[in-house]
Amino acid sequence: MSEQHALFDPLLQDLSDRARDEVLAAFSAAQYAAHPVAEVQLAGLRDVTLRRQVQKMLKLIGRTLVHVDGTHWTAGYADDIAEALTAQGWQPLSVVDRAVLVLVLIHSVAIPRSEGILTGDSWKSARPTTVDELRTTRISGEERRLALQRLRAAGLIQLSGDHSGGPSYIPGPQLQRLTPAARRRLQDQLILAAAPASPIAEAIRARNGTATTLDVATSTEPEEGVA
Amino acid sequence: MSTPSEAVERRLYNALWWAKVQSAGPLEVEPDTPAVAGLTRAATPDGAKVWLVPTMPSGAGHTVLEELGAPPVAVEQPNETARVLAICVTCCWADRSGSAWPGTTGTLVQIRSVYAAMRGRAEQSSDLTLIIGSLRRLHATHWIRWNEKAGEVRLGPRVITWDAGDQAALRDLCRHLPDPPPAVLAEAPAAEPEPDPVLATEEAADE
Amino acid sequence: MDATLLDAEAEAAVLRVYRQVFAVLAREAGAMIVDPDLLDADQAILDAFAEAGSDGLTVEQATLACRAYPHDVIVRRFDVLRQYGAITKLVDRPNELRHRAAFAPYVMLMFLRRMSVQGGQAELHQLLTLEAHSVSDPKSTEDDGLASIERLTKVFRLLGNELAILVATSTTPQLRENAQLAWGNERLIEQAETVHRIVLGRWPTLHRACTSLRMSLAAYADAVQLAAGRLVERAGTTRALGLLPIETWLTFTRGSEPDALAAVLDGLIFDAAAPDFSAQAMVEAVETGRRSGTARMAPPRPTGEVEAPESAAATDREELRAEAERVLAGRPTVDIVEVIDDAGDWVTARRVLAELTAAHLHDELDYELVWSDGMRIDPAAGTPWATEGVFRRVTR
Repeated sequence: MSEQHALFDPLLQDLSDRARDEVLAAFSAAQYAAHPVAEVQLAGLRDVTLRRQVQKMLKLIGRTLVHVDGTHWTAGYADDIAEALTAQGWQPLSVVDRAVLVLVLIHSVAIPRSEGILTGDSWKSARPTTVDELRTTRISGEERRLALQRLRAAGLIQLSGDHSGGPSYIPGPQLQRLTPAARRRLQDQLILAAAPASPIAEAIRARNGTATTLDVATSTEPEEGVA
Repeated sequence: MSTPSEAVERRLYNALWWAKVQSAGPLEVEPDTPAVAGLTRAATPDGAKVWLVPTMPSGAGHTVLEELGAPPVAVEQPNETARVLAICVTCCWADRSGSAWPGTTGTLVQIRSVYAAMRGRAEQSSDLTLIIGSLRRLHATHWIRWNEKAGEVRLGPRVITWDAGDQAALRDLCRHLPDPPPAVLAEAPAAEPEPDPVLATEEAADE
Repeated sequence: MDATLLDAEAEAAVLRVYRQVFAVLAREAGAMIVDPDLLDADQAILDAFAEAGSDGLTVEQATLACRAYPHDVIVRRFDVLRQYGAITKLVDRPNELRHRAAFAPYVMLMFLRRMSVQGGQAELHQLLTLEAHSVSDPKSTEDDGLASIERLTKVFRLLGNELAILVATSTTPQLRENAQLAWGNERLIEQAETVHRIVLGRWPTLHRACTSLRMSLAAYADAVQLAAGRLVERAGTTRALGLLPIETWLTFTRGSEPDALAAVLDGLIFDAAAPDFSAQAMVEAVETGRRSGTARMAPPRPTGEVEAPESAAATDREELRAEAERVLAGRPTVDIVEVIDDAGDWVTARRVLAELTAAHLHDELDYELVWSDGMRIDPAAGTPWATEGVFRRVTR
C-alpha cells in the first residue's frame, strides 16, 4: 500500500525494477498462495540469486522458504522464531482447534502410515477423516463443528472430495508450510503422546537428547521483553 | 549509530512481531509498544490501544496471486462475505471525505436493511443466516469488529490496508449501494474488549 | 516297573506327541512342509474327523468330505498324517479301513496359525504367564524353577539374536516388516522379570541361572532399542508414524482429553486465516448480488424481532433445517430441477442450492444432495440449464 516500506526497502532498494518485481512476486506467491508454487513458474524462485533475496525478505518477518517435492516452494515459520514464540507461551490456536486438527492428522496420516498405504514423506493425505471418526472424543458437536470451520478457513484442513458418508476432511495445504524440522517435531510429538513407552518413543527421546544440545549451541535465544 | 548486536536484536524483535501477526491476525497492543518495521499502527477509535497490521510494499501481496493463477486459501461464501463487508463499509464509513478507518458504529438493523435493498426485494428469512455467517467470518479475520450481543459493527483494522485507489472505488460503491437507515445504538458505548492478543483470538475462536 | 522303563515310556509318550504335532508341518514323511496351502488341506482333513464322530473316517470318506481339494492331495496328506501317527486306525487290525484323528495336531495347527499372524508375541505372553504360574505352584521344585529360567533365557536370547541380526544385515523396509519383534517388548520383559523374581525369591541358590536370564533380557532390550533407533533414524519426517500399530492410534484418539491431543502441536504455530478483500472484489460481488432477485416465498415461520441467537451454530443448523424442510414440503425426496424452477431465477436458485449443500454437509443434519448425470434444458425456465438430482432425507 505504501510507497515506502520500512522493513523491506533496505533490501529492495538495491535491486533493479525488474528484479524487484520478480522478488516481490515470488515472495507473495510463497507467502499467500494456498498451495506451494512451482519453481519453474517464477523467476524469483528459479533464479538462485533472486531466490536468495526472497529468502532474506522472509527472514525479516520470521519466515523461511520451504521446498516441497523438490519442485515447489512455499513459506513457513523459521524454526528459531516458532521456538522462541512458543517458548513464550504464544499459541493463538485454541485447544479444541488443535485437538481436532490432531485427530484429522491421526486418521488421515498416522493410521494410513501404519497401514503402509501412504507414500512420500509429508503430511499430505487423500485419506478422509469422517465426522464419525472425530466424534469419538470429548468435544461437543457444536465445538467440533466450529473448530472444523475455523481450521478450514485457515487452510489447516480441507473438505475431502469424498462426501459419500457426509462431510469428511483431509489435511489442508497449510501443513505443507512446515519446515523439515517442524514436520519431524510433529511426528515425534505424535508418537511420544500416543505411545510414550514404546521403543520408538525411546529412540526418539534418545535422538532428541543429542539434538537438543546441538540446537542450544547454534540457535539464537530470544531476548526478554518482546511479548 | 547502532551496534551490530542492537541491529540483530531489532531484527529479531521485528521478526517475532511479524510472526505473531501472521499466526493470530492483527494485534491490539498498548500504545507505548515500540514500533515494528512494516507493521502499520492503527489507533483504536477511543485511542486507548493500537492495532498492528501487516502492510506490503506495492507489487507484493494478494494482487500478485491472481496473475499467477495461484489462489489463496478459499473463503467460505466469498461473494456473500464480500457483499456484507461492502455493506458494513457503507454503514460505518460516515465521513467519506476522510479515510475509512476508524469509522463509526453501524448496526445489524442497518446491515439487514441495506442487504435487502441491494437485493431489490423484501427481507427474507434466510438473509439473516447468511449475514450473520459473513459477519462472523469478517470478525474472525479482523475485517470488521462484530459485537453479536449488541448487534453492532465497526470496521476492523485490516481496512487500513486499502490504499487510495481502493478507497476511491469503495466511496463509489457506497454511493451506489442503498442508504442505510439511521443507526440506533445501544445505550452504553461498548468498550472494546480483548486486551490480550492470545485471549482475543481464543475469544474469537470460542464464539 | 523300574525307573528306566518308566523313563523310556515317558520318552516314548513325548516323542509320540512330537511326531503328531509335527505331522502338520511335514511335506511328506521325513521332509518339512514348504507350501502353506497344505496346512489348509490338513485342517480340512482334521475338520472332517471332528465332524465324523466316533465312527471315524475311511480315506474315501475323508476325500469326499474334503472335495474342495484335489483328490490326490487329500490322499497324500492323509498318508503323511497317518505315518506321523496324527491319524491312526480306529482299531489296530489289518483290514481296518476307518481311522481316527488325535487332537494335538489340531492344537498345533491353531497355534501355528496364530503364530504366523501375530509373530508369536501373544503365544510368548501366554507362555510367560504359564511359567509364572508353574514356578509359583507350591508343589514345584528347585529343578522346575531352574528349567523355567533356562527356557526363558533361551527364548529371549533367540529373540534378541534375531533382532540384532536383522538390525545388522537387513534393509530398512525389511526391518520395518519385522518390527513386530520389537512391539510390546516392555510387557514381555516385565513378565519374564516376574518369573525371575519368583524363582530367585524361592530358590536363592539359582542366582547364577537368574543372572543369565537378566543378561538375555538386557540383550533383547538393547536389540529392540537398536532396531527402533535405526528405524527412527531412517524414517524421515513423517514415516516413523508407520512404526506404531493402528490400535495405538485408535486408543490415543479415543481415550485422550482435548488437552492431551492439543499438546501434540506444542512448539508449532500456524497461520491465521487472512483472506483478502480488495475493493475490486467487493464491487464485483455487489454487482452480482444486485441482479434482480425475484422475491421467493419465505417459508411460514414465526415472525419476531431480531432474536440475537444464543448459539450461532445451533441457529445455523436450525436455519438450514428449516430451509431443507421448506424445500421438501413434507416429502421424503424432491427433484433438484423442481427446486430450481420454484426458485424462479438463477440467483435465488443458487442461494437455495448453497443452503441445501450446506444442509448436506452439516454433520448434525440428516439430508443429502445427490447429483445425477442428466441435465434439463428448457429455454423458457427461469434457469434454463439445470443439472438433475435429488435432495432427500437420510437416516444416518
